[in-house]
Amino acid sequence: MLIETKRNSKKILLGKLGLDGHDRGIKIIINYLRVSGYQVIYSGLHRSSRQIVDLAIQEDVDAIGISILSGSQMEHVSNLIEQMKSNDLDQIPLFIGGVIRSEEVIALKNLGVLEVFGYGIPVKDIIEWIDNVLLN
Amino acid sequence: MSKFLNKSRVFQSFTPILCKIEALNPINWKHGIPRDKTDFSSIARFISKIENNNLKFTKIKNKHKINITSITGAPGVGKSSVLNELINISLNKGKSVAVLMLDPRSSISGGSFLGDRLRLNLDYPAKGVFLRSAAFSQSNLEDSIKIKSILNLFRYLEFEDIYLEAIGADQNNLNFKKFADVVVSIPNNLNEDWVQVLKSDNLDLADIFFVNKNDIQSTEAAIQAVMLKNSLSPDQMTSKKVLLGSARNKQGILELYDEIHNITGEKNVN
Repeated sequence: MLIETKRNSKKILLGKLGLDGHDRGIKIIINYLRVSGYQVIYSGLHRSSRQIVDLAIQEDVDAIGISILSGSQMEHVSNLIEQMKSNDLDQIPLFIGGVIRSEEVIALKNLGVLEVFGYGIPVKDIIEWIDNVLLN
Repeated sequence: MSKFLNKSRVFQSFTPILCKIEALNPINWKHGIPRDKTDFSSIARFISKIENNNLKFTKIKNKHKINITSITGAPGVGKSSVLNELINISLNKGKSVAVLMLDPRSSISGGSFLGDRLRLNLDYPAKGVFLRSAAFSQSNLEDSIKIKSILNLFRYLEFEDIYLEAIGADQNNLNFKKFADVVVSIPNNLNEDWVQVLKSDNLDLADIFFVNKNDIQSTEAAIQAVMLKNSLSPDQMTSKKVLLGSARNKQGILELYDEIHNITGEKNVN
């Protein structure tokens, strides 16, 4: 019997930006979030920041997660945050996952990224963080 | 002063189209119904209110007849690809389009993966198509009410072509008939068992059968089409259509579009 939880009403958009075809990690996150009770929307591969923002507007998402393994996170994420600001979406929590150097983590957080999940972080920690941000 | 302003705004909205207001629940006005079908962010936020606050949006009368087309079929038969081509034709004919895509809700956690968007053209939002995904569980009555409310909102905003992509259910297409004016069913070509065809609820529920994948499975598609035609009763023969085509090659899609509009009696311009 299905018991409705707070998580059921929250929509999370997961996306991949730019020329980056490594989607093994994001697929694991998709399944883990779905099993935990969230509604997950996946953008697909090779998206531009404009397409991600269009999707976020139409689906009225509660959080945006971006996976980047191509090394071009600074360019893509700053572009995305610019687009989000110009569309009044800057209050939506944005989190990044992927292989990201520690000095870039600080730079990304300065740009407006709420959290960066690097290499080797347990999936449970990501869910806990999302719970904290969206449900409390 | 502010009271007066509010009243005057309400009055303005009342004057042009009286028939709409009568049927609307007055509570709805407090929640800011969007007026403009190009303002995607306010439409999206209102749909979230329908989903989360259980707002009901009751059926309203439109000046023009607006068709809701539902597309059903088993997983993997090409619902999204056919939908993609139908949207393209609607756009070429200069119509405004809204799409609601349903995906199953997990029966254990209540979570869902809304992945129908992946098959659609990426530029549709920029071209003015409103796309929305929603989680749907067959057993949940509230979900059906929400979907009806969202479709009524699309009707109220006077989108000219409204599509509903149903979840991948084949044998029992449950209540999609009650949501839509026209039901398009896409059968599974690899299912050559006539017993399954006759058992399926589709024979009753669907108005049009679109046998897809005529490019790669042409033999199977032809068999499927003949099997469907032979299974129809004399009454159904006149009211239901069996079409053969391929979404990938854009074959038969225009005929499908015309047939959808013929059924609801709308004349096609062009």
